[in-house]
Amino acid sequence: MTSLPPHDPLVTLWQTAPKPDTQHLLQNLQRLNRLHQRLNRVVFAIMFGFSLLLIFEEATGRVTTHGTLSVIWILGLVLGVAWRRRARCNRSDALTLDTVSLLKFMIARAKSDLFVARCLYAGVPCGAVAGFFMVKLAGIRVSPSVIAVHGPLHLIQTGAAVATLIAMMVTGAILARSRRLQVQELSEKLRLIEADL
Amino acid sequence: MVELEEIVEVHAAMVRRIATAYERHPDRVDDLVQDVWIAVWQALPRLNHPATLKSYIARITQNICVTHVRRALVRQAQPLSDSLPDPAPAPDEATSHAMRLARLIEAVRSLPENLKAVASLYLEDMPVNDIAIALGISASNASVRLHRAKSAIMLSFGDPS
Repeated sequence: MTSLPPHDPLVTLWQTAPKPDTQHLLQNLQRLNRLHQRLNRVVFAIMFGFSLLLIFEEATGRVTTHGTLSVIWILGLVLGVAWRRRARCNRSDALTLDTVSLLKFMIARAKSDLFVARCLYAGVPCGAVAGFFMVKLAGIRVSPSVIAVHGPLHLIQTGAAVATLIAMMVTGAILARSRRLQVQELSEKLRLIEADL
Repeated sequence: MVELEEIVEVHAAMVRRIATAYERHPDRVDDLVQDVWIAVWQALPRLNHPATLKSYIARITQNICVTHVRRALVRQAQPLSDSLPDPAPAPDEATSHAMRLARLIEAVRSLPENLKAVASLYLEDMPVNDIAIALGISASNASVRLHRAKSAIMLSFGDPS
């Protein structure tokens, strides 16, 4: 087996190449990292807040589904998290990715983030309207006695629900904008590379 | 867990040098280096042994650079006169050093792909065992390739021994 010579002049010469400026590179990486973390935190906060709201609604008897909705929601949430983790573990390792595949992978991820963001700002109001009609059709409603007894609470709950919906839509719109820009930027880069090949 | 900033600071020069061995256009080297670091950033959470970090990064760099070159083989690009100095007679020591470095980079670039991979890691001061692990070949194969690569490099320096 060949062992390394302690001071090979070729190695010494090779390593005298000027050190690159890492400032720009680090800024790009940090920006990507921040965007990704921010999205994760926002989605987590929204999901957690919505779960609390749902449990609160059912616990106070405003929605007379006796915990069914909360259970379905939380079950869906757990399954979603599990599926996402599994997908992350199964995805091809960075060691096997080349530049073009890596870009395609990043574009796919940015698109999936864009989809989540669109669900927030477009899906939420649609979901709220659909839910409203489904509740009407199913005959699930608040009994007049509960409204009479908990009048101010009813107002607070309605206000909180509307505020949550608006917050989700605004957050979704902001996230969608940043992700759309990222998708455009990456797609342009991919297009340039593929045009070169 | 080591911060990415620290890792970039420590290994940026290595990644850049290896990328330079594969791509002569400075802008494309920058792109290549950035792609490598994005891949490292994504792969970092799955690194179980921080001691092997250098080999790990070198392997990612190699993979991305080799694939870049394979894809670029079909490219009809003009050979570019990159930032390397013109090999004219050296007026002073600094220029002479820059010329030798340029000749070394050019010699590594002109190696066949399988030798280039070994040579670029060897020049990063990696032991043969680590090179073999990084490239997924046996240590004896790495030694043979290294010997051939060094011979070719020395030949380009005008030293046939």
